[in-house]
Amino acid sequence: MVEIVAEGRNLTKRYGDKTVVDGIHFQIKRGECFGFLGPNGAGKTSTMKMMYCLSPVSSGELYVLGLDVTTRGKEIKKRIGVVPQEDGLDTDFTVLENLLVYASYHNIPREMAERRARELLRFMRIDEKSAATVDQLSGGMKRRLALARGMINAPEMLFLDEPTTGLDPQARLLMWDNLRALKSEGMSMILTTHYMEEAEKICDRLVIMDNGKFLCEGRPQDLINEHIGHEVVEFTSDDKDKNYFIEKVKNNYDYQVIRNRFHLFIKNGQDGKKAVATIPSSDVTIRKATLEDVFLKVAGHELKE
Amino acid sequence: MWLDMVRFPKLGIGTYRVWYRDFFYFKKYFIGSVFWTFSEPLLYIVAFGYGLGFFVGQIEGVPYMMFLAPAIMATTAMQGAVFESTYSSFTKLRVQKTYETIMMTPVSVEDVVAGEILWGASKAFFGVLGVMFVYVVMGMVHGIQPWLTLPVLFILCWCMSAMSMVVTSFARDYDSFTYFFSLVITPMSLLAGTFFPLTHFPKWAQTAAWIMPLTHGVVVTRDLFLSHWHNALWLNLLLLFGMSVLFSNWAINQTRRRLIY
Repeated sequence: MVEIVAEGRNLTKRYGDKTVVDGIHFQIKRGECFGFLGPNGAGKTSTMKMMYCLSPVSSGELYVLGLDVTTRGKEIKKRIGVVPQEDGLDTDFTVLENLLVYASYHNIPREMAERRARELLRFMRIDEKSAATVDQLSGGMKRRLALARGMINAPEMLFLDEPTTGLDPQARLLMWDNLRALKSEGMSMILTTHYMEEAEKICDRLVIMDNGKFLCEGRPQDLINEHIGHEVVEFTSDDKDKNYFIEKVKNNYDYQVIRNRFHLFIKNGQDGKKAVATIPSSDVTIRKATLEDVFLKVAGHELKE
Repeated sequence: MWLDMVRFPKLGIGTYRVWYRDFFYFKKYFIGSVFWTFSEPLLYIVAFGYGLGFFVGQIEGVPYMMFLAPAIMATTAMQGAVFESTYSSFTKLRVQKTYETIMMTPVSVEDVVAGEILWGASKAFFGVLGVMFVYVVMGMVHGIQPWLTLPVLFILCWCMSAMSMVVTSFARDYDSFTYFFSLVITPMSLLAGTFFPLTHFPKWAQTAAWIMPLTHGVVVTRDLFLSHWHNALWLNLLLLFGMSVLFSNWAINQTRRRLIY
């Protein structure tokens, strides 16, 4: 039997008369990396905060590790690790002290805490910064320290709220290495992100969320196959040619026009090169379909503010 | 709801952890803290005790210096607690998000706020001990009763720390504290019978003084310091204790509203 580490049923979060999480259902399995994707304000962080018991559930049910978040928060918090969106590192202390102080909140005996802290700093590759103050760390190091902190109580599952937002590409790669290593050890992980590449690389399963609702749910590759296909043919058209192109492609291909850029979705069994050949345009390109295409298709591409 | 306000806050291992976090930080900068702790009360004693005391002579049958000395302990208690539980706590609540981080662990909001209040009280009490030390050196401490001021002053530290935490839990920014200082703390330090006896104040000022925690702290501390204990002081102690409990619960409830939503 597959063990469920987190389950939401008709989970809802309201602030006043604004509904930010709108009756979602989900089940997350042990050992799985599950992603919540969506634009800012989609309700990802609110969902996470309810799961790590920092924000009360407005209605519906939510269980983490089989425990009701509303009544068993303290027990849940003992067994989970959290990496919040804002690192929340204690600038009054050094890197090592940050871990020791946090370990003390978990009632971890001092010696064990120190051993674990040094182990984690090595794993995160910030051990040479043990005595540095938090302000002396780069953004990537701070993020990895926050991850180390979330691991100090040897949790059964990790909550990662936008683990790589604001990091440069190198720092992001390092973070991904760490996350993949944890995953290979069987750590259950729940993360939010708005980087599609991140979700595609790390998540076993994900949902795309907007306005507090799930737009679609599944394995990244399945979602790509189902909503897009295997390839995307792109080309640009000006306004006067738009209708001409639409007429040309609409019978054979699913497509989406984002501003003046056509995206033809090449289903499995269709040939992208053939599509390219039928487009009388000089800037036609063909590429692999990605999760980003799914996202733009299901979440829409209008800029919302 | 009102029961929430009058019961004694739950203290647990988490409270101690939060307290220890602050103590751990304090230890790192211990030497710097010592200087500031001693310098201000010493300044008051020299300026008012020797300076003003020369002209005043005696108040209520005691040398002005002896009248003033216990009040300086009480204001030291107040100042220390107020500073720690306004600016420092606000920084942890809003700027560094320390409380939010702590709450990702099994430590509860109640633990966080109670631990912070106790720390503010402890740090202020550390200052009180410093002043007491100076008085001992100056030969101003005679008999047992003056030593009993210490537990009383700890309650005063607690009360002022809790009151400040209430303000912190409502504060929008650092400027909010300016109101607290000029509308509450400064009047209190002048009108609580610190520098002059309350008996010569107009009736309304005496009534106003009665609702101030510092007044009760000063009254009890002074009578003990001068070895004049009498049973009417139990009422002052009870009021001081009651205010401490009330402010603590208020701070806990309001901070919870601020952090969990």
